Amino acid sequence: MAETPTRSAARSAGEAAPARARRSRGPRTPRPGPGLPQPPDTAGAEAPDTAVPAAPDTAGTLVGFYRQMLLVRRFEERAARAYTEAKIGGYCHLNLGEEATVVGLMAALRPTDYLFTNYREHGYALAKGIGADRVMAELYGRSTGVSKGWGGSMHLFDAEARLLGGYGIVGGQVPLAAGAALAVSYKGGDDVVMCQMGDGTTAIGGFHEALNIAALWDLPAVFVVVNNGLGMGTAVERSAAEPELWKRGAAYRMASARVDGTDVVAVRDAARLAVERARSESRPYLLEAVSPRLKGHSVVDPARYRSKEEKDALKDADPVARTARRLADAGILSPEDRDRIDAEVTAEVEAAAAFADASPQPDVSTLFDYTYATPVAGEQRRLPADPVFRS
Amino acid sequence: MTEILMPRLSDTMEEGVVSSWQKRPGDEVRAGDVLCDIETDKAVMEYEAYEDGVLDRILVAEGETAAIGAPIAVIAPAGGVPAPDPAPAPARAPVPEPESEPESAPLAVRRPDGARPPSSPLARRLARDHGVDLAALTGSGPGGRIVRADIEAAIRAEASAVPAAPEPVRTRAQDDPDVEAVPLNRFRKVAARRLTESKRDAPHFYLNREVDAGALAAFRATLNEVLAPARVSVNDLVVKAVATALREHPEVNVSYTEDALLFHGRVHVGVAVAVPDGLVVPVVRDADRKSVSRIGAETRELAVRAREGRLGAQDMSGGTFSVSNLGMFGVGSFSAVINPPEAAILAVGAVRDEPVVRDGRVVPGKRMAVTLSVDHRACDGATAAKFLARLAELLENPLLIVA
Repeated sequence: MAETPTRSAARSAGEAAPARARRSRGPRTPRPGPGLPQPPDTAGAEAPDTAVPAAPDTAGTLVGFYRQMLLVRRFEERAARAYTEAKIGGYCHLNLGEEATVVGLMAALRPTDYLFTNYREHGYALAKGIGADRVMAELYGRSTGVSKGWGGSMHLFDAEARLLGGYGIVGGQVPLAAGAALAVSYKGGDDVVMCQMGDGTTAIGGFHEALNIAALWDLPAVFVVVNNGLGMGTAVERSAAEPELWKRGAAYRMASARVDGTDVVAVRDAARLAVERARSESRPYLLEAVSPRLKGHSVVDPARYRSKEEKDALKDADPVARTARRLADAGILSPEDRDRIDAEVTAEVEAAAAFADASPQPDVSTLFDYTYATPVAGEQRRLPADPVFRS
Repeated sequence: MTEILMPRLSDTMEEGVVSSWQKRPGDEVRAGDVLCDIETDKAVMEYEAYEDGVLDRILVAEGETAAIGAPIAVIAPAGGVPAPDPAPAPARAPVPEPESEPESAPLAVRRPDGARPPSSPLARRLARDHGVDLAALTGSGPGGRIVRADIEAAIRAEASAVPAAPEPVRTRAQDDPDVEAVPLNRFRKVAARRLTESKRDAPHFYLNREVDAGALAAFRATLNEVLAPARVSVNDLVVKAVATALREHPEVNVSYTEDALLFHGRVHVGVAVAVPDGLVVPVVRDADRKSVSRIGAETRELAVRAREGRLGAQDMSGGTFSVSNLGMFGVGSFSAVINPPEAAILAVGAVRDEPVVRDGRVVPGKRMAVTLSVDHRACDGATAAKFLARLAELLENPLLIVA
């Protein structure tokens, strides 16, 4: 267990004010008082074992994971191609290489759990249960898209699927996720908020503020840092004084762990532990999944900061291929099944691209219709060419 | 057959340059293989194939530019006999290549019919308020964008039709009557970009050498007598000598890339040619295997086409070494900028009458200065010096050039 559940300062009741309104949480484990010995910091555990005893995965579950990973892979490859064909505008960040992390994390959530992500979120939307057609249509900026064509690649949003947004500002989603967890806690219920971010985000002020308040107020939030080793092109070691990012949880006395993000089952188990702890005890968690990305930061990044050797090594460590190999070795996935699944997801992605291509562009008159959920005083509905002041 | 189209690789990219092909026609291609490097306005990006097959044809040569969506190559199905030509490109109509467009009038806004010309919001508001038709204006802003000054100029122009209108105030540099802004033509744009790239990226060093050109001049005179009415120039002999020396010194016939040093198996010598509106470097292919007279004929033919603006991009690409000769203008010696991705360029000065020491006596003789500019990333001083020594030997013993 790479946990640091060392909250020693017991607080008197009523101090953690907002969390008190919680209604239907499970029993909370008492915290050690000031005089109690601290549990040892079992830091070396890079891959936490599953404290939640789970039934062994069936072949169907594992093949299902593989299928989802391959769907993310083929979807992102198709998105990259659509970008070169000028079908997709704006920014476009891909989950290529992070499929195991994406699928493992989402497998640990219930459909009613909330998800916040950064701008690298296509795969999360798919694994959260949103159709590839609606996600692709959003990338194409079409009105049939998840965000009705007005969000694009970085701003997928689907309240029904409880995907509360991809966010384009680094770290922008972290305080918002803490706020959503506060809302869950305030209203009651046992939903959990998961907040995904990249390694660079851990150097953003909002990361500290959100984790601090989440720990202070016992919010049911799981913060997930996907550490791909590079903040755009800057190595983690060059930007983080503590490059083992999961250790940052210690600053907030928050349980935290690091997991191999290329192993879908390990990620699912680690995430399940974090999520169920947040659910049953209403305590936040910091999970670090180490998973390289195969390509540049975004589709426009040639990744020249990587040597050819590094690129080749990445290809060899490809989690999708690795998962296929492991399933084949275990006798679960035959080559025929693998090809069939590939053909199926490829067809699904091609159909999504065709659907997106055939969908209409949103009407300009709807540009402001989805900006705010509630009326906002002084809201300006000014189009780019409109004068700043109307005479 | 699948057409490979010029990809859009950044949001601001409108056209791209194929900086190098990683596959050659006939090469097998697998999905995910890097087909070529595309230079965008921002960076050089690798472009990967989406499907398996065999690279059938390259439509846009290295160094050439194509608009987004224009076909740059054709991929044939793997293992299959080359099928008939592909059906016309998919629904997506290729944008016409910018090269086929005329270099149009100064700063004019090119736009499809009916489209609104690019303009700033302020300009649009001013135009609306003063009843100025944007479509009738020519923008002076970046990319032909109509800006406030253009609207104000239009308003003043209209007002000046009325007597006693105030004299327009010249506020912009472009209005300075002593300065004429001539838009950059294609050659100058390409040359500016490539030469800047060369000087910025390639650490140049220079080797100077004086060559005794007496025998060369005599040999040329003899050749011209024999070959008349055909003629060879000193430069043709230099090109042949360079090609011969390159064949013997393959370590100079190279290109530097980030990953590897590329040794070129063939010797293609570029010859810098001045044209009325710039500089072009047509390439004499396999110059080491051609006779001096053939090199001369080809060079003159290329130069004529260059001056008439009829050079195709394939005539100017693929060089492995370049020669620049300013001797005919009386230039004694100079240093040239390397033409990337080549590793070196030879600058040739005039053949001068000079006193020469021969057998301990000062006698009238002929001298020619050559300067070799070398990319130090690709080639070191001693290596280049050996090449230059052999080149000088060839030039001083011109029979060796044709031997």
